Amino acid sequence: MPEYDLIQFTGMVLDQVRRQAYARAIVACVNADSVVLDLGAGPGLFTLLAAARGARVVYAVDLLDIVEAVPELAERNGFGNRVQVLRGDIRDLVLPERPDVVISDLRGVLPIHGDHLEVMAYVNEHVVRPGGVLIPRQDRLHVALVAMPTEHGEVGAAWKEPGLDLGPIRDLALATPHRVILHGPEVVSTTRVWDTIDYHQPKELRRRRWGSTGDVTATASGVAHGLACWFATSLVGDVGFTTAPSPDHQTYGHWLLPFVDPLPIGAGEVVEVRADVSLVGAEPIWRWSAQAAGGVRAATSLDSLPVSAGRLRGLAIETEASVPYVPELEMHLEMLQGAHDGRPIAEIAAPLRERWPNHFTSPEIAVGAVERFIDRYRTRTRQDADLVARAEP
Amino acid sequence: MNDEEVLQATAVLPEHVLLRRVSEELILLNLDSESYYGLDATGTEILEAVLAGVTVAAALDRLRHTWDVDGDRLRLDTLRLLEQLADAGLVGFTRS
Repeated sequence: MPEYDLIQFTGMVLDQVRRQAYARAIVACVNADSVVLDLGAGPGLFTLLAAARGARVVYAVDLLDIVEAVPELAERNGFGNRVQVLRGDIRDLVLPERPDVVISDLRGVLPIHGDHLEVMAYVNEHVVRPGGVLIPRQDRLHVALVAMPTEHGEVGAAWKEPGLDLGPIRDLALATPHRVILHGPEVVSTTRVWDTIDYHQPKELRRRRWGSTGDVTATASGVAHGLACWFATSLVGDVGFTTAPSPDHQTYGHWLLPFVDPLPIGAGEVVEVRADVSLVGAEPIWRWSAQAAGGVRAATSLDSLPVSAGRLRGLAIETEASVPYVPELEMHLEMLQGAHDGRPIAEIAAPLRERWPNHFTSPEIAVGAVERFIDRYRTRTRQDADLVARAEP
Repeated sequence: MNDEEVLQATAVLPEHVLLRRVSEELILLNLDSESYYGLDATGTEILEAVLAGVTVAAALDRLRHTWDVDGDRLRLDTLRLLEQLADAGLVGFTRS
């Protein structure tokens, strides 16, 4: 059993807000006739709770090794004949029968990440019995302004070194969205719901973009260092919980969309905020902004994504404009000057090749270019002379 | 739009496109097609000039003064680049 998995799962079961809400939801939905799927079962706490509630059968499904611990736990608790473990991606598995209750918590800090919502859409369409229950039923995504002077100061200070200019990497670090733990006092505005995820709507779950723009009201004067996002979930009926900043232990944490430069705000001021995330493959790309009287802050996570031009060059659009222009006029002036001075063509060509090696890739090419160019003028002079000769009486 | 209409139009970045400058190159991300694109230094300079809020023709005038380049070639290359960018949903045009 991998130790790291267990530590992670221990943190999750330690979160009493989450644990008790899921337990209440299981009590509300599961009965002796229930066929239950515990999706992302981990070590199987929800599996065992469903079995203890009397479910006819519980399928514990997970990609992780740790799910292999479930049979022993089920056996020890007298549920051995009602719990079945399947390891793998639910989209690759065939359950003996369709469950009428699906319990899952595949969220990270927020529910939008990787293929989580795609998996839930698949569960809707192919796994759960029509009319069955999904736990959770709905997640509402919240956003608010936050003041985090210590965090902002520490990140900024980390990228300072006497005698060195680390400005660009400092700005990159300050602009990178990341997980934080907030306890409540950091929130300096009202909150707003910036989107809603309905787990019973597969078409909606396949949206590639989530977000909105709207107003919050500052509840304190000072500065905001970013926007923080979290979710409030409705598991079933009126059973749910929120991951809003609070002193209570929370396993999820909060997602910070930071401002490089703090935004001045005044208590009572209405601030327009935007939180928006698009999935590009499995990668979430964030866009966020805040518009207050004291200024506008706007950023995207593309700005702080660790990408290089080289990594993406393979996808570059091939265009004529991709070929750098050469300063033809300057070259021609050099050639004319050389001809005017009476220098041999090879002597004119040599410094040209030295100066523009990418353009004149061999001595022959340079000599040929000089010859052709000078020949144009020779020809023209001869033609002009012919014309003059013909015009003369 | 034909070439003449493009020259008199102003190029705009659609809402679903994000830009990131990496050194002298530009990365464009089309969120709708979930595709990344890259422009080299020359393409970057052209795109930044045409996205500066002036007509494409005015942007070409500015570039012609910056670069020692034949005006016809610059016009043709720029129009071809903009056509490819528009086909990929990376730029739009508003009539001035």
